[in-house]
Amino acid sequence: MLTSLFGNTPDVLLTREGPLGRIRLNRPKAIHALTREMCEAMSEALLAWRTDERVKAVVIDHAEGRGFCAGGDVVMLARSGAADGTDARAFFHAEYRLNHLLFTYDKPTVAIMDGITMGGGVGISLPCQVRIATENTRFAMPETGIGLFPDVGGGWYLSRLPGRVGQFMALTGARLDGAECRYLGLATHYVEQASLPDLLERLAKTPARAAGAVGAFTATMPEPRIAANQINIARLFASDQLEEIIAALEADESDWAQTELATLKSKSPLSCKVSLRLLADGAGRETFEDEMRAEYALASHVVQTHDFIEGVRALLLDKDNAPKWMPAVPEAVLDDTLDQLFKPLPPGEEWTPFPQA
Amino acid sequence: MPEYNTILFEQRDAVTLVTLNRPQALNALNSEVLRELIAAFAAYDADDSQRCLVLTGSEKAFAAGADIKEMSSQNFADMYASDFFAGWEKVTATRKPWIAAVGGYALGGGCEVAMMADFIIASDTAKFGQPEIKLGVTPGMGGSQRIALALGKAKAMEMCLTGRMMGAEEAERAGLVAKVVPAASLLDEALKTAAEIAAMPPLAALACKEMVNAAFEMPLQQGIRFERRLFHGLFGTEDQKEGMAAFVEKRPGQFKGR
Repeated sequence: MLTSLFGNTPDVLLTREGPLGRIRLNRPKAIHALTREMCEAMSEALLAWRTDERVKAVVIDHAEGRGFCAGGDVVMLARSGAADGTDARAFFHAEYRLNHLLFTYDKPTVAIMDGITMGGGVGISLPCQVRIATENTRFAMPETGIGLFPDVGGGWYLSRLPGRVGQFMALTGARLDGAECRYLGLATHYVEQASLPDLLERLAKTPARAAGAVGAFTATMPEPRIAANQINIARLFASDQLEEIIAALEADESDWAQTELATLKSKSPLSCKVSLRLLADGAGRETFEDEMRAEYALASHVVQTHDFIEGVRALLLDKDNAPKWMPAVPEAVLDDTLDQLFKPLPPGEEWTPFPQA
Repeated sequence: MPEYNTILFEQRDAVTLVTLNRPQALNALNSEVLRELIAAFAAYDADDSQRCLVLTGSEKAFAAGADIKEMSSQNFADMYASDFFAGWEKVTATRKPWIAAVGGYALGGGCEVAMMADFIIASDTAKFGQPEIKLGVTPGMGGSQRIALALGKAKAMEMCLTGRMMGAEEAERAGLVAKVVPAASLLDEALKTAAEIAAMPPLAALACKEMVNAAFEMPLQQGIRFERRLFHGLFGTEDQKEGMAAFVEKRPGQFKGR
């Protein structure tokens, strides 16, 4: 039985194997969705490895079961949001600290996104220098479907994708496969699952040369499907106003546009507007720290909205897939409501990163 | 995550590490790679915290050449009008030192880019070559000139006319590479050497690079005078005062780049 060197949760295995710090997500019953304990244990390990001379590179993957990481513990978040939100804020604070620690980590970091990689799973893979997609990768930021928004740095990463793809992903929660991830730069390498054991062995031999070692295992990938739709995405999702995007989709008669329109209309209008504004702000932010501070303030507010609590009920608890959004249409979302959600937190309650070593 | 799609860009203390990353195409160099390399090298040159750069590829290939698919349908007018490949001069205009760490294939454009570096450290698996002749063309990114300067006429002609590959050991003997190391330690060795260079007085490093490069462009007399003038000039820097004082006092120097 493997035991973790850090934290005291069985849900993530934290070990050192030769020169590799290994982070193995181990919560198969929830597709390795992150809890606060897992985030804190991972951060503890990363902070220790930062100064541990023996550790030359860090690898994040999943242990037993399918999927890399399906997100965060949203049922807990909704329960807390319906009360005073304290536990939800504590979770976001710990999770975003982990995200930021990875983003600024100065040893090579490798994420193996072999399976479902969504929400919180995206937050721990995109800050890694080497990001491996496989034929099993299913990558998405699906938060608008439960009344949340693409957090864990979504405002930073998605706003830096080419030609409005980030806005498209944020609004529709589109699922990308491994080839699409590599094509868009979300992944740095495409490798077949069957090569992963050999790849890990090679990484242990040349940990400093992580990108080069992984490059040697690159497989031929299928055509990225999203490439054919990029022109449509750039054209139809061009606006930062949700109403204008919907109007553009309505005016386009293609099957693709009509399918995306139906998807978009099933999402929380409030969340969609929050997401568009977050990406517009995120594109201009200078540091990832600023991004996480802003997202923490936003998450602290959004977690207590009707749409989030209702979204989790409809999709995850009752599973009736019929959320009643309030407001139900984009036109009814007031700018003032958005302004309130985006308000920074007072000093003392703000998000802060770990102190630099 | 990425401002770049075809390269990986990292900073490790004072050393910038750029990894060519189009593994599906053995790192073939297309216009997107060139655009991103120009941006990465410019960012390196402009960043005062960065003192040396390492350019590397994967274990299998440093870079297997220019992207033939992208070029095959071009005609003379397009190539001439766009001054195709001229963008590489922006990479060679980098003033600060940089090293190519070559593992696996460095062929055609890949070999030419490696030769643009101030020097090459190669893994024992490295293979160099200029096989363009087999496609009905020649080197086009400075390869014929730099390989002749590195190898002399006989070997340069042989390489370019037959398009054959040269292994790491021969490349070291012939003076194409500075050092050969085991494949597993290539990057460690290159980063270690880069860190050593990064610890040198930065103005002296710039001057060294400029004067060694002058050896390939000037007659000997002029080159020697150029060297002497730069040498004189360094006596106007704080780092020279500090370096010589530290030497006399038997302590390590603290250099500021002033």
